[in-house]
Amino acid sequence: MISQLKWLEPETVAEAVQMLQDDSQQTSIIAGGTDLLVQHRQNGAGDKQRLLSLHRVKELADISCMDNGEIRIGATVRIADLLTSALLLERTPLLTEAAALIGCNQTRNRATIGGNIVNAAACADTVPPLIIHDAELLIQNPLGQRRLPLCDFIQRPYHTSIRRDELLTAVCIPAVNWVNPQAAFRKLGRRNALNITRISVAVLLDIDLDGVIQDARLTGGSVMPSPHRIEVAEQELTGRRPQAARLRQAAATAAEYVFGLQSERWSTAYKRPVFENMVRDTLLSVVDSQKESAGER
Amino acid sequence: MSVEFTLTINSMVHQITCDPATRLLDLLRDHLGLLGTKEGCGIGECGTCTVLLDGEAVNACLVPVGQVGGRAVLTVEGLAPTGELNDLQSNFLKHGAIQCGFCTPGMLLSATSLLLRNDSPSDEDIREALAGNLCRCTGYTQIVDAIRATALDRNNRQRDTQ
Repeated sequence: MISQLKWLEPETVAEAVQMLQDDSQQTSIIAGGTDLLVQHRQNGAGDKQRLLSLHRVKELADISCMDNGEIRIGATVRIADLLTSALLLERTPLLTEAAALIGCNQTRNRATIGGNIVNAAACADTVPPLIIHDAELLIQNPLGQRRLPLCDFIQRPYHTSIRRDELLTAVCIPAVNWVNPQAAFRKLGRRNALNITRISVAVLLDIDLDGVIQDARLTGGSVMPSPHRIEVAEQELTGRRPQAARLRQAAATAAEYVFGLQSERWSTAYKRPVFENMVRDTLLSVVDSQKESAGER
Repeated sequence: MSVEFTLTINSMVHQITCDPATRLLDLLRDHLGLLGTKEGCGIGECGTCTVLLDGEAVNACLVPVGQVGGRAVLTVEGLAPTGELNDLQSNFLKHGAIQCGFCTPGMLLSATSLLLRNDSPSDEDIREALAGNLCRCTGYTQIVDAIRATALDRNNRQRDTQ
């Protein structure tokens, strides 16, 4: 029962990290609680003795733009806040699109981006868009701050490189000089509402005025043990024109790569062709929306 | 462990003393006797414990009260403070949006939250707002009808008073 845990509520990141440094007692960090409280209810609190709540740490709740154009999303920014951010809609519409598909209102009003990342479920829907944007994480510990790419942080489902005395403070999205970036997120599950992702695809293509792909970024969600960009497929697109045959080939390469990362499972016969088709369809729809957008200019 | 804090519930300020890890759902039902809020799954999937926290729908089974000090909670009891049903509740009755009634408090609060931010919701908006509330009896159609009718009534009333 969580009610037997000691409750901590620091007001600053420094205070939180100091509390975490006392490792005589195992601590669960709670922000929105939409994953943690379910896990505690279903599996018990395990060896945890304290709950450290981040609700008073105001410095974690902002979305800001740095002088160099980097966007910083505080760890306790809620999914609902991602949806209403004009800055994110302009710079990372892919993240906005994915956030809209997470859970339901009740969940989005509580769940946070930091929780989605640190919980590290394979189906975490903020992760594929952040991988596409080469997001990096800021992590505070007693010695200072470390910064590392998101793709190096999640090691496998529910396992990250965060230590017991560390706190995720922000997600950083670097500015990139794209010409006309178009992106799309597609998600597949067993139903529409409160849909837990079985397969998702995130794609970003930057196609220049001559119709050549200058930058291609592609990843999958729920299908990769540790989320990262599928570079072998991206390389088949970068510097080329987006003909349908080439997009189909890149989708086949992506599926071969992703399903080569893990041993065959009962679901592979279903998931592999579905993933390949989703990648192909997403690439095609991104190219279509790029053409429309180029036509308007 | 126990802490003291204030919490506004249905427009009344309460001084609360309890364990901060208590679920908001248990505070409402067990400590304050507000039994209108129901517990369904207890893991944030069914929405039957939906209440509004500062006007936003949340699942009370996943909110530790240590996080809500100083904030305002609206439960189904707050929709009819004098005992007389409000327009949304009346429309639920009128449109047959209730069968067993267990999901109804949560449905009413998700709908209330929707109508707070959108006074002319489309059916799509209504269904999206109810996505986190399960009903195993009605098939949802009557619930959507009741909410659509409430929005219409309110807009008509507002036009009449102008």
